[in-house]
Amino acid sequence: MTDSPTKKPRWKKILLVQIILWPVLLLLADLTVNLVSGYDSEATRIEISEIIERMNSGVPDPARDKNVEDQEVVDLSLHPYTGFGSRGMLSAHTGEFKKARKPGPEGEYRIMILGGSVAGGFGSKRSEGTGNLRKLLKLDPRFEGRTIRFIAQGFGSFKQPQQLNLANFMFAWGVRPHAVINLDGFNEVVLTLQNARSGINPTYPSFARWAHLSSDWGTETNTILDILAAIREPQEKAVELASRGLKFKLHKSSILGPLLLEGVSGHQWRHAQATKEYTTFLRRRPSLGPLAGPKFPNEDEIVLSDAVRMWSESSRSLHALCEERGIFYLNVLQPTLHDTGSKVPTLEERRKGQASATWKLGASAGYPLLRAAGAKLSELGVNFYDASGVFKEVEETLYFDACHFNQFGNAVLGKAVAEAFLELLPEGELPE
Amino acid sequence: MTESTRPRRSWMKIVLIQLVLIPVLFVIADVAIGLATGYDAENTRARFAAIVESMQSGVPDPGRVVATERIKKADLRLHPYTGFGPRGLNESHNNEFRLAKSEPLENEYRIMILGGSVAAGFGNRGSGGIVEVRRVLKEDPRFKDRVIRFLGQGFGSYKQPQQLFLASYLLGSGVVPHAIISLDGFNEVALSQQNGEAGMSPNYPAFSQWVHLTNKWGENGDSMLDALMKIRDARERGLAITGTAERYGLHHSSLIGPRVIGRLQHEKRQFSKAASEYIGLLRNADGFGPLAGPNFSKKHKRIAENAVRMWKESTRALNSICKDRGIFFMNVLQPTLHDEGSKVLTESEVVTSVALDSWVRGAKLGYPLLRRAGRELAEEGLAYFDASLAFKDVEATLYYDPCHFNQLGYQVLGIRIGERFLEALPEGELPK
Repeated sequence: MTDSPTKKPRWKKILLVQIILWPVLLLLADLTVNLVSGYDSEATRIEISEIIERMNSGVPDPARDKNVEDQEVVDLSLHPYTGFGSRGMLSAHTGEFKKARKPGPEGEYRIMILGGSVAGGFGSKRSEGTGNLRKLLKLDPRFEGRTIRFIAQGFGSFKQPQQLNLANFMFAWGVRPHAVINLDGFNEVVLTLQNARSGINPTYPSFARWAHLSSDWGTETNTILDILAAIREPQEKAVELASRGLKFKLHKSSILGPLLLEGVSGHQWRHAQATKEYTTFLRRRPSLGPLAGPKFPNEDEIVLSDAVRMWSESSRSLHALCEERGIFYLNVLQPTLHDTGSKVPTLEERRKGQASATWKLGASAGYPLLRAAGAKLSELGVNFYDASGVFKEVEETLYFDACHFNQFGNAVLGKAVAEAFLELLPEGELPE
Repeated sequence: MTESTRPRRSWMKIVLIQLVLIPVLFVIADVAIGLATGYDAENTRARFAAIVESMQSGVPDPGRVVATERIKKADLRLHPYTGFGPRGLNESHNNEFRLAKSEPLENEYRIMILGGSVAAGFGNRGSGGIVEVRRVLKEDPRFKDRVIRFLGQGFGSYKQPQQLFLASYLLGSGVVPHAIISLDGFNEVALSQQNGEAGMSPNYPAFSQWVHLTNKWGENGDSMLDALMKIRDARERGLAITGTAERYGLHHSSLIGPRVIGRLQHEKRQFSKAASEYIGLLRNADGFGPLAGPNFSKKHKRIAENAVRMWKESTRALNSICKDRGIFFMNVLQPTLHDEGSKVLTESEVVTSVALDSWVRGAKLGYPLLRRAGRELAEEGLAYFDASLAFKDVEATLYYDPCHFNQLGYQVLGIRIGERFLEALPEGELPK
């Protein structure tokens, strides 16, 4: 009887010591690991944010300081002239069309940025791409007293002729930019090859979006629902985990931060697997028939050559449309990681820039064709700037996946685009 | 016995005489009426086909009278760059792409015809329209040794910017015509008005086709199915009547032929009523929010102005992309029945002119605006031909419904277009 009362306080003591000791030990271990490994909590936060962004299929936010829960999940809808578009695109258009009905503010110089998600990121408000572009243009005496406004019209997975149709549609609604910069090239060769391998005409919009929106669920409703649920579930879990972890600043800890990242990455992996499964499912469905477009010779060389012709002809048409309206047009060939020789990738870029064999082939075999077609466009009088080599001498990490680059990359590109813009802009006063 | 048999024989005789006499009298009456009224059996046959074809929502075939079983049902499909297209669109494009890849015929001169169903009828093989255009062009020494080929790219319900995007897509795919004629105007104002009044952007494709293809049935599913069944029943009855009439040559009879037309017109009214019912259900369907396009003013006049601006800007854009490639472009404003003062209507045209209020309103409000916008385009140097009054002095029946015309109508229009084409075509040798 006497032993038992003395035992209880000992257990209590041990428990108390454990409760105090473990956090202290964890903190000490955290600090030690932090000091030894040079742990970068900001990089972890950005990486978590990037993962969520990629899962939401949106245009990358170049500033990367948006709250995870504020990131928009992109709801796509069919569009009659571009195949598909996000709901955000429609509301952006309504806003632009309303502005177009009134005379613009005095001294405003409007630059429309067209293209896919890279152009979307480059053209967004917080991008250092347009930031640098604005800064450098303002150094030119012709831009003195002018307020530069960017009309960002880059949308995820867009490729020609989507940019051409979008610009046409906006011009017809009365939107009048002073200049149009079309930043593209990657989707044109990579997504077209992916289309062809999925049995859909290469010149049609990106297979995964078009097939998803245009095909009927029919008798396979339950199977499709299962797959879509498998996509949506990890997406939601990842957002929940990331926002909770970042709220409690877990990324600051060199031990908990990587664990958090691993948890979010796990959900991303499951999301990617389910997305892949859905794409394969769509590809195998027999009902796509006429929605796959006209027949085409399914040989890589011909597919890429047809894709580059569509890119080049659409750019030519955009040039003609702009010229007729006195709009300065510049086509910029975007840099991309898997274009052989365009950049020495860092270890991080190698790790994050993994891509499918189709994407790699599209970029490595398609880019030389794009460069050659771009040179021909120049000969025809189209303002073409080959920016595919702008990252060649940059040693830092720029890419955070196979094609998108960070704020620094946008800044480098913005400077190069500004120089080309000023060089090619016709001499004389700018139009009002 | 003998008394009772006599009357029986006399009755038999009377019946026998009647049996012989009635058909003979019928034939005599038929021939007499035919001679007195100048009855045209071939015209009646063409009207059978025209009415039944117009119930397939497809393109009228004015050039020849097709066998009933060959009348195509115009199943529609989504198209990424024009919103929708008929079932045969891919096949037609396959063919053009194949021809574009092969060596063209020596001295071939290719004219692409763009527009809606009127342009489709005009550009059909065997149509009086292109027969006359070819005849007029061949009188010019420059066309003497050229083989003229027409690329019929008019499709039912197409309106700008669909022609523009279709042409851009074809050019981007390697199809290179020497000239493009866009024959349009009616759909642009009539269907845009219908769109606007239904709550869909006037600049989006025809409401009844676009919403039909993109709308998920939802809670109105059963009513929609009922309406579609009624449409189908009327169409099938129309086909059966025409089939029987064809088989027994009923168009040869001046007494029966008009009755068949009466029956067909009754079925057409049933078809139109069911189609209106279906469109009404589509209009009330939930959830076509983002598919309705950007916001716009719902006032009738503003809808018409909006539609005409889209027509004008798209025409300008088409001209620019053609000019850049050395392609001769001509826009032709098509004549239409509800454009006040454009034709003195015959009795038959008055009967068949019934159309939706929004169509009539669209034509009345829109045509004066189209003419003014067309003059402005001509002042800018664009080859524009206002053919809206081409039927002003024609007394014969040309229209068989509110907007489509018969073979004679196409011939009249073909001659005028051919002449104007030669006037506007730049001097000097034709391109190879």
